Amino acid sequence: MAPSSSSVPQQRKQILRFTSHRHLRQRLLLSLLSGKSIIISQIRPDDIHVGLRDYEINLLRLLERITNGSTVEISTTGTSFLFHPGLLPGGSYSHTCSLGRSIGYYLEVLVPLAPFCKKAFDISLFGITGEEGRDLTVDTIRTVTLPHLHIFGITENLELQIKKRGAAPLGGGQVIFRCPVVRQLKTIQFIDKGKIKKIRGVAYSTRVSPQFANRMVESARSVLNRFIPDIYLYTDVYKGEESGKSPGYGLTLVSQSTTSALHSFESLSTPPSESKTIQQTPEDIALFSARGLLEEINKGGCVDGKHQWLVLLLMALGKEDVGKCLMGDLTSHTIQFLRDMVTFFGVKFKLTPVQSDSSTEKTSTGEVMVSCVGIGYSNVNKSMA
Amino acid sequence: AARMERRRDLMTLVYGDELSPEEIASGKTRPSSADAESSQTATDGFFRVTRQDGLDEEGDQLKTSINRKALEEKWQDEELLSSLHNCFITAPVGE
Repeated sequence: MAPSSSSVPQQRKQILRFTSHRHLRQRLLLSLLSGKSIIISQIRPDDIHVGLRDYEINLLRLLERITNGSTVEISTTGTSFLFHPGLLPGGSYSHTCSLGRSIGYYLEVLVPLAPFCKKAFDISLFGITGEEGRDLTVDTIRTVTLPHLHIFGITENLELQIKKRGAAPLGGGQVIFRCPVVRQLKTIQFIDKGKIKKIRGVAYSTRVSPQFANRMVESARSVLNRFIPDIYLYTDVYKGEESGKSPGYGLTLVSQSTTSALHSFESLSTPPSESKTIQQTPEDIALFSARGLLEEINKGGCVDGKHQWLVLLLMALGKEDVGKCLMGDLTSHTIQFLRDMVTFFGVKFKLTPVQSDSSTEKTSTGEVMVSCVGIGYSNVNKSMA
Repeated sequence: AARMERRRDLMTLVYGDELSPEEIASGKTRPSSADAESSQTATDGFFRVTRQDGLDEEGDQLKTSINRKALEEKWQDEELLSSLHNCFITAPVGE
């Protein structure tokens, strides 16, 4: 099942074709890691705003800057583009993200790329540090995404510093992401989800009364206290210069088990102009976050639902050994990612549903044991460039 | 055994193309056209099955939209709340 080792130049001729704006970032990510060029067409052809959004073009420019030899050719109407992936030299960068999407939109591509650079990678990103609904906030990336890299042995000098917070819509936030270089990834056997021993979280607010953060902490506790006494929710109240340009507040929650399995959920206020409903109260935000965390825990597995794709990717790129991991309900994003990994790397996972009492009508995949043989992906950029 | 049979189902579904990722994630196992209509409108409690035509803005994001009311009602259920205790170290031993 292990495909031929992909030396970059020889791959250039093989161009993979995709359509629509859906799953755009994972195709760019897999293109860069596999060295295979892609064409993505029919991007919002009959939308009022045809073609690529500004935040997508901003991402393409970012990828061009942090690679050597990548070329991006966007059609005149912006409804399709050709992407030839280059190499990943690493080094230091600074980038201003479009305000159309939060910084998490960009970090969700940079985090899985950074370990495969030739030299250590660090980047300063300016923009919106958290936005309700679509992308991970910088707090989840710091407290959930990076710890998922620890499972594969990526630990020293791996950090995300939140210098300034910036809420939607005007942003004004800044983070610094640093990542070491990885020669080869550890093969994992993460099959015991253990028992949850603590809950941590961050209640943050910008340009509103500091009381909002405390109110969120109390409301979240009212839901979670019955399960576990060890709950510590930091309040992170930014005022003045480091608080960005828009008022906003949110709560990110993370549960950790005796075997370091993580689950997380978060919710933020929506800017008044956008949301038709009146802006939620801090209590609404906190109760939703707490219940969302219970929902994630209830789905089971050793890996947070929004990070299944990252663990699957790093398992596939690992040494030519059998890696195993117990996952909770597979998300639709994960299932699409599994399909795209076959297209780019030819890697198929063995998926074994864990026998749960299937008496109740199934509304999810249930817990699934995933396993695969790594393709022995050696850090091409390290040896080549 | 049933477990074997279900395993093949999940892999065939995930790596096949009869069902969309959203449908598989919401527990559907049969692509029979009979309930294709219902799967299109299935809101499955609080997860909205996004439309296939990719017209909408969503499509490249990790988070799916969640019905807050349904989530709130779900987690009022005492039985469910106490069943979750087993996931915590505070669970009474031997339960």
